[in-house]
Amino acid sequence: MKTKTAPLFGFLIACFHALALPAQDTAKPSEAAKKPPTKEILAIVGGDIITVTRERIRGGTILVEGGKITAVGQDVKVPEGATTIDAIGKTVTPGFVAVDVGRMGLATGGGSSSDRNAKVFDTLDPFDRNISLGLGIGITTACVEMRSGGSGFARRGVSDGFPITERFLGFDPDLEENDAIVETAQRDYGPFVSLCKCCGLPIIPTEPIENTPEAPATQQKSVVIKMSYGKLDGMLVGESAFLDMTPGSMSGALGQYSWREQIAKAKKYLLDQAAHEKVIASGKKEQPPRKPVSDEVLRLVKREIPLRIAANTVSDIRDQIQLSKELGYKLVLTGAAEAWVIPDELAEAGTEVVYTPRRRRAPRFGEEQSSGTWIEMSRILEKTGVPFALTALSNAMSLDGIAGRDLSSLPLEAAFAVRGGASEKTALAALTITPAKMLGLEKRIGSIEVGKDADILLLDGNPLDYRTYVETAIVNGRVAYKRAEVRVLPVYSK
Amino acid sequence: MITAPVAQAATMILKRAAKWFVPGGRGSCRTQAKRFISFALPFESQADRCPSAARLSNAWVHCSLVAFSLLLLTSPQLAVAEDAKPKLAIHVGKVLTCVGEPIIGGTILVSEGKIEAVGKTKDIKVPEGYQEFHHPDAFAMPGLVEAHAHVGGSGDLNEMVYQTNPELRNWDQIIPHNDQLKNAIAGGITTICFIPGSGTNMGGWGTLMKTGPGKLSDIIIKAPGVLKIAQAGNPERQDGELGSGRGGMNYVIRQQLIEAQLYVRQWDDFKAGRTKAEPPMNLRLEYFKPLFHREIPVVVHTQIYQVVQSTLRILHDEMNLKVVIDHGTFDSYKLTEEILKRDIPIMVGPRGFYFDRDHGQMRGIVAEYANRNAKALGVNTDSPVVPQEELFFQAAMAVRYGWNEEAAVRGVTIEPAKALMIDHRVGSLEKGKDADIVITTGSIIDPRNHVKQVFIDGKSVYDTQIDRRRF
Repeated sequence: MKTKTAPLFGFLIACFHALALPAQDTAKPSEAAKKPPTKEILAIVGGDIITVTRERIRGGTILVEGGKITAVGQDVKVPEGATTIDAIGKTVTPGFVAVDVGRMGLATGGGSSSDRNAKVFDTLDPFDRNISLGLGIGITTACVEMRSGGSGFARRGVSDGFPITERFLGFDPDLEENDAIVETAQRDYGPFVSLCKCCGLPIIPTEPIENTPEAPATQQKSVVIKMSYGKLDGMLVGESAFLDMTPGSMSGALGQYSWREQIAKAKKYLLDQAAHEKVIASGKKEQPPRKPVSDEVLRLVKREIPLRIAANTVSDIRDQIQLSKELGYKLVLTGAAEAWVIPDELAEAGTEVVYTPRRRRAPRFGEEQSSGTWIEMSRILEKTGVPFALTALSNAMSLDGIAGRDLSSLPLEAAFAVRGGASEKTALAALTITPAKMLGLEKRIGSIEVGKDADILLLDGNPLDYRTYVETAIVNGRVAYKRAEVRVLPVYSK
Repeated sequence: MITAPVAQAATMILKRAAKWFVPGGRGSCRTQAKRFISFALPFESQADRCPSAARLSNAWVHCSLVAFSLLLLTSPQLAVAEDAKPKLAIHVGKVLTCVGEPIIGGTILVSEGKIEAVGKTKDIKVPEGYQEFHHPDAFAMPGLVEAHAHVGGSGDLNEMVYQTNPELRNWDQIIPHNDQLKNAIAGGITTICFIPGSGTNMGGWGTLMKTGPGKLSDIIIKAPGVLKIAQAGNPERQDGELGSGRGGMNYVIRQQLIEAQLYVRQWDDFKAGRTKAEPPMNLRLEYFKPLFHREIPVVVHTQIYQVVQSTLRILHDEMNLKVVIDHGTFDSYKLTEEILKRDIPIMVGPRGFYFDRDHGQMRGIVAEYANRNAKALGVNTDSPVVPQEELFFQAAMAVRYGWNEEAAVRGVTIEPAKALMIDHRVGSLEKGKDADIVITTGSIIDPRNHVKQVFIDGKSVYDTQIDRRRF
């Protein structure tokens, strides 16, 4: 595409010039000529377009202008001067939305605390190699935790190759080093993980289902970013798409009491605030009420964002559903290992689920038919009408996840959802429009429709076929990844 | 590789369990480790309940080890049909025999636990009295064969008093049809090579066994089935001890093998009448007889170029053993030409990828072997490092990274069967072989498909129309 762009560029300027001229200040034609065209048109031509929300379009064309989709269809004409991407023989889908990428190397400064005053924008690194890894598996939007992270394997590789090879070139039985690796693995995959010392793979044993231990009510912060490799503009989409709470913070009577109290305070504050605004509007002076809770909690009470919290056992899930109904907020459950046992209760409460079909948890002894994970959960949730988004086995973006059991792949989880009995349509939606809705971004991302962000994947096959590769990823209307050039994944001809 | 249970249980966990798993944990380190082990290896607790395991330990008390082992040696095929094995006719949309072309619209006849006939449905007449199964939209394929597994029984896979442990055998640890094997069946695996860990350079003798239910005598295909050798990595010792580096490790391996070679020669000479005095029996060296007679292979935990080189030179060139490169990962593919010269089968896993610095990109290891014309090529899980039921997924990953799909189907069936020298029994759907048949909703290499029904030795052991789906 690059090669095509160059000769077209002059022509494009001419076109724009001609079009824009009447609107320009005719007294300064020379300046207008100097000004580069602000809007380049990109045409993706001939692909088999899976729009997700509408009909599939075979041999269709997508026009992109200013980072947005301006036309989709079989009869769309490519305007002169548009940069064309040939998509004949390719499958075209919206970019995937990862709702739960714990860490992917946002904070370049290191450190582990999520300083509430830190400016997210200052920490973004658009050249982070993890972004390419994400794009390689189709992720164009990710909701990431606001703290330092990624296991670092890929990020540090920018200057000196992938350190993963140094670490796993052969064996590194040096114990201190292994301790550090295990620590990283546990941070990325959870406390039960150890690392195979001979091949360096994380060993993820079947997790026991245990009641969540109590924990202080700490709030975690997440941000939504676009994987706009190489470009900071448009990378940060928004902050706090969810109110994230640590799983243990609402377990136990005291935890639940303090949560109810927080919500009550927030509701009272909103009433006080409304009253205060009336007073101000009437021209009187008054001290504004003091804000007793965080902005996120207020947004939760206003139903602008959902609460996102991990709950795995039936009992924990019921607790959360009960609280959400009683206090009137939207709920997104992560983990949700046993959601298949009580799908009707989730559907009735409008609860949504983020889960990993490949994760397996052992059932409790004597309750083999009604506890633990079950492969058929996807079928059950689809049938009952519980919306679900999928997340990968590892929520860290790193080479480690790719090299082992492929712990980072979203389409693979969708394939396992199909294995469990969900339709391909629902499984693809679980990577696109369903998580987009959870993030409150369904008007911008999650499908190929006119007016939406041009986050588009060109694939060499069905998106749910594990053999399929992302050939080209377009983010905000710009090509951000080309498999053949980036080479974070093997390149070979089929 | 031994590592999962072994390194966890034996070294890492004992040292660090309290710190890792129970922050501010109660009780001693040892207690915590025990608690962890019992959760990580659920079958340990079943040992008490398992009748065949109990029977086996009684047998231990009453029989001498020698008698038992000689019995096993002289009758490798222990399977004795006790239950009446039904006569079956299985009709499917497509049969992947793993020898020759797939059969569209095929029928498999089974009787006495063996395959009686395989062919097009129209060509096969079903005799009377056969129970018929109809899966018109499904595929049939041979049961999957795992070349490197540690989930066949209790987790005590490593005893690490000596640097080499040919005195150890693992069929005393088998728990037939344990929870992990049940899951394995739901993933289509019907045969595993259950081996000791790689805690030492020579972990002991492994068993080739079926995953289905039954007595030990029903499920064992061959015992001893393989010798397990680990040439680097896990068996490395502390700095300064013999075996802390590759020099020392390969010395102890060679020293042990040469001692064994002399022992086997003494016996061979005696049996052939070349010597008169019967050599003294040495329990520690007894099972080397089938190994040096090339009746069973040595599966070598070997990986990376340098170590595979030692495998070829020492175990093949010097000792003339039947060698299987097992758990062969990293850049060992660069040695393909040398491996092919020696006709050695290659099993890759659990790590299927390697970052090639010279060319700055990730490579699929199996694909790299295949590109260099390796045919005797398969994948292994090293369960429980990768869950046993995900054997198909090791192949799926290899295909994603450039392997041919037909080769991948062979790479989880006939190729490991040949490598383990049991291809006369398992690994393909052919007349006379064990009726280990897996019915899937499509190609098993595609994760969207799943296993519908599994037959082992002609008996249905998993049927999603009756049983709850497990995977």
